[in-house]
Amino acid sequence: MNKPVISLRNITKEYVLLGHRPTLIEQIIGRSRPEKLVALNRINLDIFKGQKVGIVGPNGSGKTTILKIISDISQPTSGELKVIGKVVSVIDLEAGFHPDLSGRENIMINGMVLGMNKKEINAKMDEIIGFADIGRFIDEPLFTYSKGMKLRLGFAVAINSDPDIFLLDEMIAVGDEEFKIKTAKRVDSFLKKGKVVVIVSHLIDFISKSCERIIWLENGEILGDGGKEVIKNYKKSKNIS
Amino acid sequence: MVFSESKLFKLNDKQQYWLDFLWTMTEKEIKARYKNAGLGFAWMIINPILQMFVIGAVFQFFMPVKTENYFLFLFVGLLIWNFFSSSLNQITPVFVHQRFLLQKANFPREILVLSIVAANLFHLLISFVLLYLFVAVWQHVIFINLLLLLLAIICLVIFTSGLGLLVSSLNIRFRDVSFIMQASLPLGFYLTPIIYSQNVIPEFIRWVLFLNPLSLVVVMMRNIFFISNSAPEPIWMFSLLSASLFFIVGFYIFYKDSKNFSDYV
Repeated sequence: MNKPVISLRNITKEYVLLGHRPTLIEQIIGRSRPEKLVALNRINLDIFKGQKVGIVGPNGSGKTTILKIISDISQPTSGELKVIGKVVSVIDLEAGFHPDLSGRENIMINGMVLGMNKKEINAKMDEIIGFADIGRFIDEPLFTYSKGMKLRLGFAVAINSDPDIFLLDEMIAVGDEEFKIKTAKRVDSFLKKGKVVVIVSHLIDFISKSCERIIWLENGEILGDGGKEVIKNYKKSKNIS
Repeated sequence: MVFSESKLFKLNDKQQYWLDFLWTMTEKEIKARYKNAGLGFAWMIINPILQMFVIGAVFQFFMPVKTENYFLFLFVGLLIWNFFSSSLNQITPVFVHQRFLLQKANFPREILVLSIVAANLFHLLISFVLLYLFVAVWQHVIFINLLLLLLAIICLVIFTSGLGLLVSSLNIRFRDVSFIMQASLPLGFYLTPIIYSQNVIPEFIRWVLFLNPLSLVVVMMRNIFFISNSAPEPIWMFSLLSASLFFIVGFYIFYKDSKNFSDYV
């Protein structure tokens, strides 16, 4: 193991709780009183090339926040973050799809949002369409798509965007069995190339089966980091058999 | 559209990506708006024509204001006002509406604002060309000073983008910004010489009118159809300065806050 690809040093993330968005008027006359929530508390974490990491933890433990910090969608309140390579996070697959535009047009928009340039997308268009497997619907407007087709399309764009670090959030149940197998194969070929996959999920059995390194996150702190024994401890503490 | 082949500007990958992204999102704005609309593009010209007849009728027949060719005079102003108000109406809530996109990736946020401005500019230019051709049929139109016209459009784009960045950045944090906008936009309509001529304002105080950059744009655009004073007046500098100021402030607020947008929505 050489230099880590992802390195978090003392990362803390606080959210300001207000119950609602404040008003500009209140801000100007100084009447807002913020309350803070610590989502991540001094997290230290190194992830190395070729690792497939699973993060488990109950709701509100900071799982999604950690992905957002790594993918630079959200800024840490304090601490130092180093990431080497291109990060693509799959947090919301359908986001950015426009219902009136065709599948092809939506691939272009979604790909650009994920940081691909026009040339790359055009070069990969056929591969993305093939992977999503939505046939002649590709030139139809998106509102004619089924839920599964939209998710597959979103996933196909993300996985073909050539990331070095692939972050998946609660993403396991996309598509049918055939699509799942295709996805798993693709993820494996990623890892063989020395890339990094981080999966966040409630489905602890899935994580236990597919990840070699498991991180247990709770209340914004890392309670366990290691192999399958982390899952055992986690289950014990939650009384799940 | 290929920008990289132009020899004037050598673009690096990041700039190329930015321009492509802006282009794609602008195309999306334009396509999405008319995909399901029966009359399609016709709406963007029908709307100001209806407005022109209503407002024109009121002021021409019931008020003692007499301006030569008042309907045309009004129409030019309305085109520009519609560009401005519909841009801002779309831009103000854009980050809140696109919250899922903000949560998805770290793309350049300003594209969401600028693509709306670009799509509306596209509409404005088309209506303007149509109007020009229409008027040219029965009136001798002199195309005065293309350079000044370009200056007016730049002023309009800078002002609208700057104000748009400012308002949309504030709106994502403060929920009363959209109400403030709704209340102040109609006021802006009367602070711009759309239904009246800038000449009705006494000369010593006319510069105040030109603190509003839209005034300059309306006056310049009218000069194409009404052969009047087309030479640059020092008073117009106020408009350019204030448009630039709006842009600097807007961009600064946006830039300072855009990294944290995903935390607010």
